[in-house]
Amino acid sequence: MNLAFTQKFLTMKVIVPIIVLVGSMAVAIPAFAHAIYEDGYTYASDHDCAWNRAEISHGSGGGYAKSDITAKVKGVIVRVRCYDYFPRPANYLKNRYKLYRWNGSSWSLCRSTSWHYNSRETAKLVIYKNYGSTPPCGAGEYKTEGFGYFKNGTWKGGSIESGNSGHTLPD
Amino acid sequence: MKIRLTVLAITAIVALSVISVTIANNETVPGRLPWMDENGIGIESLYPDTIGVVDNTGQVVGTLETRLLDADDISNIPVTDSSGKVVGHFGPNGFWALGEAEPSGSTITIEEYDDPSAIVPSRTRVVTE
Repeated sequence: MNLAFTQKFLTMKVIVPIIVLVGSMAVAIPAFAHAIYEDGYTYASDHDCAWNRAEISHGSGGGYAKSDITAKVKGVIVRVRCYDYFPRPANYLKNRYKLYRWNGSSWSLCRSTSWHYNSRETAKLVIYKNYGSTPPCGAGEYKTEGFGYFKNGTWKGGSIESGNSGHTLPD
Repeated sequence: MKIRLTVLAITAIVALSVISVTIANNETVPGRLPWMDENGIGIESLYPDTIGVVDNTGQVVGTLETRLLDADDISNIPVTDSSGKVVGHFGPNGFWALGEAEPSGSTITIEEYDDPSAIVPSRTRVVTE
């Protein structure tokens, strides 16, 4: 193996892949996912529980935000906590969400809904909005924080975010 | 000599890549909301007293007091600049500056599920915010 071959080998087999690797690190990975959501219990006791879900997705290109709250209770037959649905009277479920946009250094508020309540006895309340083809606060990264509570003496529940990463809009 | 230079170049490129990854991992990368735990659940005690507000172009225009968002009626929350001066207001349809018209009402869909495992809701309403 002569010196010229060694140099050529080093150039082609080592330097080029490293440049490609470094270049690929410098390029931000876009969010291709169409729906980003998270769900889980924001409140759970031995008696009752609040199951929440928050979503951000592409909708019609400009974004779609959604928040769910489901009231649950310890099973009557199967004595496991959070097992049965827990229907609540009118105005005993409430739900709202906040929509955030990444401003380059932090998450800032773009939209915030009013509180919305159930109209009749029910166990699950969902609110959502399709923002059309244009993101409401310009192109960028968006995420949803859903707030859902049920009333059983006091309001029980909490907030959940759509995920650690945002959704790039429009897409 | 050329081999040494090549090794030096490789070392420099690797060092640069480490620096770029370090920069990429700083706080300017979108991530979890600061008041969320690792499961994405909000921790009430960590909620900020104020939060930045962006307008419909994505420009940061000021801050508002987060406690005001807990009210049933959030139609007219003042937004202030860093000196505390009111620069506009915030409602369900976003920010509007002083002297500008409030953004027109938009609708939101509300679904109720008497059986939460059902695919189709028991009732659907569309209301104006």
